[in-house]
Amino acid sequence: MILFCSSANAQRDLKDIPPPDPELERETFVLPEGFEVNLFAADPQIAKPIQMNFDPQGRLWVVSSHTYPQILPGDEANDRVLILEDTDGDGVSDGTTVFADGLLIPTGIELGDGGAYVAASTEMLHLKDTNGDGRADTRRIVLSGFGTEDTHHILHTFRWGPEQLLYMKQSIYIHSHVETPWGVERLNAGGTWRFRPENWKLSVFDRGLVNSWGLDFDDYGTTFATDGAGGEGINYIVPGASYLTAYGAPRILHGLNPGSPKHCGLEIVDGRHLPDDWQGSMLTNDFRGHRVCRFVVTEDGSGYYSQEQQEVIKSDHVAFRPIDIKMGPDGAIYIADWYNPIIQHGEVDFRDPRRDHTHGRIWRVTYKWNPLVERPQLVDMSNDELVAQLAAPERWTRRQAKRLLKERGTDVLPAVKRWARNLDNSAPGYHQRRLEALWVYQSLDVVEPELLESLLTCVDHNARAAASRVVGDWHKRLDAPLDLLAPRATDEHPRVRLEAVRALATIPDPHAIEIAMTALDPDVPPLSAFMTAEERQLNKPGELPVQVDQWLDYALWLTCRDLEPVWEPALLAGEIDFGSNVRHLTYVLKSAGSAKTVPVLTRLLSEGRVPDDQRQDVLDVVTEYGGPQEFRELLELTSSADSVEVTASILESLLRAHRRRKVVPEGDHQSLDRLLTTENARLRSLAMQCVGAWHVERLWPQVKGVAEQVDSTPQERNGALQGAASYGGEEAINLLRSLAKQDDESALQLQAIRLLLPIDVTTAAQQTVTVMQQAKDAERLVSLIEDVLRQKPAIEQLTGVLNGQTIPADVAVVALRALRSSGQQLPEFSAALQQAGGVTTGPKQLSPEEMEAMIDDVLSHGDPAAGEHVFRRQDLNCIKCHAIGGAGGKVGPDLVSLGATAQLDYLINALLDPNKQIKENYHTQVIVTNDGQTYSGILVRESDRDVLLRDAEGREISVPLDSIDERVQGVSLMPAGLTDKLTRSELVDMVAFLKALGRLPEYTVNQTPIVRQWEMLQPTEEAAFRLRRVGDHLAAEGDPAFQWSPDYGRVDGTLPLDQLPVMNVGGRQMSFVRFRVTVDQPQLATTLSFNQTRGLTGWLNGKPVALAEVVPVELESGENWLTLAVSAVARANDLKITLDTTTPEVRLAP
Amino acid sequence: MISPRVLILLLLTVFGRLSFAAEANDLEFRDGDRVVLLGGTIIEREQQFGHWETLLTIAHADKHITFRNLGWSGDTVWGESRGMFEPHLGYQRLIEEVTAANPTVVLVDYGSNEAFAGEERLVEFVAQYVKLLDDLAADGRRFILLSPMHLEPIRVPYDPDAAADFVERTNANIALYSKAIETLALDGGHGFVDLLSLQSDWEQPQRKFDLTFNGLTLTDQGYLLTGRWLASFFSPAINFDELDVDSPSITQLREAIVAKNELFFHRWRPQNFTYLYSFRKHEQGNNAVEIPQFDPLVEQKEREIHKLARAASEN
Repeated sequence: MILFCSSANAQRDLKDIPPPDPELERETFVLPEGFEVNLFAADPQIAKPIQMNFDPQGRLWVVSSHTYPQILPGDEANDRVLILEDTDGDGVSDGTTVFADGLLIPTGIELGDGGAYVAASTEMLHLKDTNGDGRADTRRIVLSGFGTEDTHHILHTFRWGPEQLLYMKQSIYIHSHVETPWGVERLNAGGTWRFRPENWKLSVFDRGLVNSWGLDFDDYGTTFATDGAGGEGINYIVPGASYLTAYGAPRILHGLNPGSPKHCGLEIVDGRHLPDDWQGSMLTNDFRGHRVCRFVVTEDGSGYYSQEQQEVIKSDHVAFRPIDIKMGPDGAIYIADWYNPIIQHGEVDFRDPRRDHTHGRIWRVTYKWNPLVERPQLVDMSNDELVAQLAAPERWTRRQAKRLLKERGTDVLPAVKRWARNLDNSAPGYHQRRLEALWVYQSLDVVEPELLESLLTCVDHNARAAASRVVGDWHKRLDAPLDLLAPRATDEHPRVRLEAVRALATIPDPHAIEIAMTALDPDVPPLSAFMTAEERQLNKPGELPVQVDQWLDYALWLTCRDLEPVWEPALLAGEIDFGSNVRHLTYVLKSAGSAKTVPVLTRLLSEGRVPDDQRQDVLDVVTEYGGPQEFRELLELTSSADSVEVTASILESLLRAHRRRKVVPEGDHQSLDRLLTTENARLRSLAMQCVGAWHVERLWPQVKGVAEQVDSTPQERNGALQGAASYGGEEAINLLRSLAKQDDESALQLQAIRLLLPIDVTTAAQQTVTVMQQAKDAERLVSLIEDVLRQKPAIEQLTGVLNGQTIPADVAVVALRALRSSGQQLPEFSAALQQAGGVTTGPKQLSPEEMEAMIDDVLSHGDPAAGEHVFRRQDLNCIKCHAIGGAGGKVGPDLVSLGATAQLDYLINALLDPNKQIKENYHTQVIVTNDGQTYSGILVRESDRDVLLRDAEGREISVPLDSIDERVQGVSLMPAGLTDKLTRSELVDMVAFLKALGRLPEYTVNQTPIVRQWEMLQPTEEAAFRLRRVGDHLAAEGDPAFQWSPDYGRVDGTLPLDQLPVMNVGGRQMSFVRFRVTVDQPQLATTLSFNQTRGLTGWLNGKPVALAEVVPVELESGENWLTLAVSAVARANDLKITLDTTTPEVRLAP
Repeated sequence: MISPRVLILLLLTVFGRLSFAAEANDLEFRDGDRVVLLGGTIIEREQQFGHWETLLTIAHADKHITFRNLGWSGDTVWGESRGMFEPHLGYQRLIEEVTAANPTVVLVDYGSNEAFAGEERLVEFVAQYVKLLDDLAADGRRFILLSPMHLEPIRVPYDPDAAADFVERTNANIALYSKAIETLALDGGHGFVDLLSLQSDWEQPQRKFDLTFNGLTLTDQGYLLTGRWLASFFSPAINFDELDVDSPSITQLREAIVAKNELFFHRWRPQNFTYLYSFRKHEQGNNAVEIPQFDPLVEQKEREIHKLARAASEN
C-alpha cells in the first residue's frame, strides 16, 4: 500500500479535528471493568510530552518539544524539560517547573547523578541544578555524535537497567559515531546503547528494530522492547542479537506478536494497587489506533510467548496519541498523550497546518477496587531501610531504591550484605531479592563472587539466567568464569543455557566456544545436588525437555560468530577439538560460514561423520565458500554415497554453486561417467546438467544423445536440454533451435525456448511470439514470460518482434501481469504487448473535482462490508500481497491500522496510481547480475554477502553481492490498472473498507485466538471424483489429486461462506477447508469454539470429531490439522472458530 | 621501524608531492580569509564553547575573517562519520562539504580517533591524510594541521591501574601519530600546531581545573586553555592569558559566535536529512527550501560578530 501526502488536499480533514478540551477526550476512553482514568496534567502546563520518568521523590520529569519535526529558520530551539509534582497526593499535578529550556527536540530523559540525563539531537546531556532553585544551571555534554537523519529516530528512550547502566535507543535512519576515551563507538541504524557514566564505557546491547521507543526489564533483568514502526508487538531481546532491519545482519530474531500494529513505550507493571491478573503485564501504546495495550508474556522454551489482552484504554479520539507509559509512586499508571491529529513527518508535510504544537496530556489510570499505594519516602531513609525496599511489592519502589543505593556509593554495601544474608530463604521471591543485591554490587562496579556463585546454582532458573549474564559482565575480574558458565550451558532450563551461551561470547578464550556448544546436547543432566526432595519432585527430568528452539539456536549461532576470531585460529592450530563431537563442530563451522572452515567440513563429509540432519547445512557451507579442490572432493563423495538422496543433494548443491559463483570441480569428473548410466533418472538428469555446466567434452555426446532421443523420459530430456544449454556451442544451440521450432506447444518446446533466451535471443524471441500467437492456454506461458523478464536483451528483442504482430488478448493480459509482478518499468515492452493484444491498462489520475466527488461518495455511501468483499476478490489478488494483522501475504505493507493513519485522498490515489508515491521500503529493487540475469522484488535484507529480495509471489530470492552489476530502484509491486477491474461503486466501497481498518471496532483485528489462516481444497474434477469415490473423509487424509490454496478470514475473523470454492461431489455442493494448530509440548487438551456447526463435518488429524459449539480436543505435539467439510446447502452462516489458548505452547497461524 | 620522517618522504614520493614547493609556514590569517575547522569531536564541540574562534577573532579584529565549523564526532581522514546511509561515500561527502564552504584556510584536526588502531595502521593513516590534503588542495588554499591531544588520566572507580595503562599505551600511539602529522606538515609546507607540548608543558600539580571531562573531551576551561595556546601561534605578540574572557564585551562576542555556529549547523547538517535530501525526499523534500534560509541569518550574525570583535579588541 502506498501512502502519500498531497498538499492540495492536506486540509481536507481539518473539519475532523476535535476541540482540544481534555474532558471531551477523556469521555471517549473505554477502560476494563473497575478501571478509571483522570487527567494528571494538561496544556498549557505541558505540551507535546515525548518521554517521561519519575525521580525517587516521586516527581514526574517530562521532555517536550514544540520544535518537532524541524527547526524553522529564524526560530530559536527552545524545547523544555518539565517537572510535574503532585504534592498533596490527589492524583493531579499541582505545579509545573521548567527545569531546562533552550533544547532542540529532546527525546529522552532519565534521572540520576544529581540531575537529568537528556537526549537532545546529536548530544546526550547531563543537566544539573546546583543551587536548588529548581532550574538547571549546569549543562554538560556527556556523549555526542548521535545522528539526526530523522527527528523521530534520534537518540531516545532512556532507562536505567537492573544493574544501573543507562540504556538508550536510536532508530533505523540514525548513524552515530561517538568518541569515548576508550575509542570510537559506531552504530549504524537502530539499536540499544548501554552506558556506564562513571567510566564512560559505551557499548551496543542489541541492534535493529525499525523505530523502537519501548524498553523494559522484568524482575530478573530479562529484556523486552516494542517497536513504533515494526509490527511484531513485544520483542524479547537476546543480548547482542539483531532484530528487524539491523544493518548488515545476516540473521535476525522476530517479535512475539507478528501482525500487531505499531507500539510505543513499554512498562512492565505490578504492585498492590493493580489486580492480580495484571501483575507482570506489559503495557504499551498503539498510538495509531488510539489504544493503550496490555500483553501477558509467559515463558516458552528459551524465549517467551505473548498474548494481547483487552486494552487498558481504547478511544476513537483522533488526537489521542499515547506514547509513553510509566508506573507512578502511588501504584497508578501514568500515560503520556502526545495529543496530535497528525503523527510523524515522513508522510505528512513538516509544516502541515493540522500539526499540533501546543497540546499534551498526562493521564492517570487507577483501579477502583484496590486502594492506592502510600508513596514511599525513600530519599530520607537510612541505608538499612532503603535496602529493605528492594523487597517492596512495587517495582517502582524497588527501582528507585536501587537507584538511590547506587547514588549513595559503596558505603551502602555492608547494609546490602546484611540484608541479603538475613532474607527468609523460604519466602517467595527469595532468589529474586538476592539478585537485586547482586545488581547493587554490579551498579557500584564491585565484584561479589560469593553471591554470584550462589545465584548461579540456586533453584530459581530465572535467577540462574540473570546471574549468567552478570558473569559475562564481570568475566575479566572473576577467577574462572568458564567454570562458572559451563554447568549453565547445559542447565535444565533452556533460557539459562541461552544466557550462558551469550555470556560466553564475551570471553575471548578458545574453550568458550566448546562450552557454548554443549548447550546443543539434549540430555537433561542429573538433578542438581542443591535441590530439596520436594524440588526434585517438582523438577523431574523430562518435564523440561531442552529443545534448541529459535532463540537458543540464534544465541548459539551468534556466539559462534562473535567468537570466531578466537576459536578459528585455535581450531586450525589443533588447540581445541570439541571433544571430537562432530555435531558441535559442524554447528560452529556452518554458523561461522567462512572459507577457512571448508577443508575441515569436507573432511568430515568424506569420513561420513556428518549427522544426516546436518548434511544439507554442511553442504551449503562448503558450496558457498569452497573452491575447485573442495568441489572435487564433494563430487568424488558421490561414488561412496549410500543413498540417491545424498548424491542428489551433493549434485544439486554443486550446480547451485556453479550458478552462483561459477566454480567448477577440478579434475576430470570421473564420477559423472558412472552417474550418467546409473539407474536413477533423477541422478542421470542432474549428471547431464553437470556435464553441461562444467563443459565436460568427453561426456557431451551422451547428453546430446539423450536430448535427441524422442522416447527418453521428460525428466531426463529436460536434464539433457539444460545440460546442452549450459554446454553451449554450435551443436548444442542447433539442437535447442530445432526443438524450439517443433511447434507442438509441448513442455519440451517451451523449455527449449526458455533455454535459448540467453544464447540465441533472436530465435528465442521469434519462437516466443509464435507460441504466443498459437497459445490455447495463456497461463502455460507464464514461466516463459517470467524468464524473458529476467533478461534485458530478451525483452528488447521480444519488443521488436511483437511490433506489427497480433497475439490473443488473454496472452497479453497474462504477460502484462507478469511484467507488473516483476516490478520493472518497461514502457516500450508494455506498449508492444498492449498493442499486439489490443488491451489497455494503466494508472489513473483524478482532477481535484473528481477527487472531491469520490471522497463525498466514500463518506456518504461507502460500505466497508461490501468493500471487504471486493478486497477479498480473487481477481484482484489484494490478500496475496497484503496481510491484515498478519493474515495474508507479506509482499506489501500490513494494512492492520491503515485507516487510523491514512486520509481518504491518499488511499484513493494509492489505488489509482500506485507508483506516484511509494511507501518507504516498498520500492522494488531491480538487480542485474554480471551474467545478465535480472532479479526484482522488495528488499528484505542486505548482509555483507547477499541481498535478499521478496518477489510478488512472496518468494525470497538471495543474490550474492559480488555478482551484482547494476542495481536500480524499480516501481511498486502494486499493480497499476488494478482498478480497471472495479466499478466505481466497488472502488468507493473498497476505499471505505481500507479507511475503516484499525479505526472502526468491527474492522480492528481482535487479539483473541481466532482461526484466520485457512487452506481451501481447489475444486478440480479429479478432486471431486476422488471424493465421490472414497468419501468426504478423504479430504482429511490427503490425496495426490488434492491442491490446497491458502485463504484468510475477514478482519472480524469470519470466513465468508459465499467465497468458498464449491465443488459438486456426487450431486452435493461441498467445500472443504482446513487449518493448522501447532503445539510445542507433548500433548494438550483444549477446546475449540464454533459460532455455529450446522452443515459442518469435522476431522482432527484425520479422525472424526463430534462438532458442537464448544469442542474439547486433544492436540498432539507438532502440527495438528482440523479439516471441515462444508455443505453449501445446509449451512447459512459464515464460519468462525476460536481456540482456547491461554497456554503459550499452542499457536495458530496469525 | 621506519622513522615517521622517512615514511612520509616515501609516501610523498609515491604520491608525487615532493615537487610541491613547501611554502613558508606563516601561520597567519589574512584579510578576507574563510577558515574551515575540520575534524572530530574536539572541533565539533568547539562550536558550542566558542573559545578558539573568539580568541582568534579578537586577535584579528581588523581583518574580515569568517569561520565555518565542519567538525563531525568520530570522524577520521577517511570521512568515516559522514557517510550516513552510504558509508562508502563519507570521504566524498567530506570533500564536498569543505569545497562548498570554499575556504582559504583549513584547520585540520585528525589523528586522535585513528591513533587507537596503533602503529600497524600508521602507514595507512599517513597515506590517507596525504590524499585528503591533496584532494582538498586548491589555488591559494592553506592548511594548518593540529596534532591530536594526549588522553588525560581517565578517573574510574574500579581498577585505576588498568585505566592508567590504557592511557599510557594510547598516548604512545598518539605521540607516534602526532609526530607523523608534524612531519607531513613540514614536508607539505603546511602549518602545524602542536597541542601535545601544551599538555606536557602544563604540569599536573599546577592544574586548578580539569582540561577534560573524561580524559578525552575538553571542558570549558580546556577549550579556553587550548584556545589561548592555538591563538598564540597566530599572534605571538599578544598575551592571551591577560585577556579577560569573562568581560562583557568578550562574553557578548562569544555568545554571538556560538549563535552563528548554531545557525550554520542547521544549514550544513540539518536534521531530517533522510527526508530533505536522501531516499525519502520524494515525500518531504519540498521542505528543503527552508534550509538555505539560514544563509542570510548566518551572514547577519557574522556582521554582528565583526562589530563586536572590533569593540572587544578596543577594550
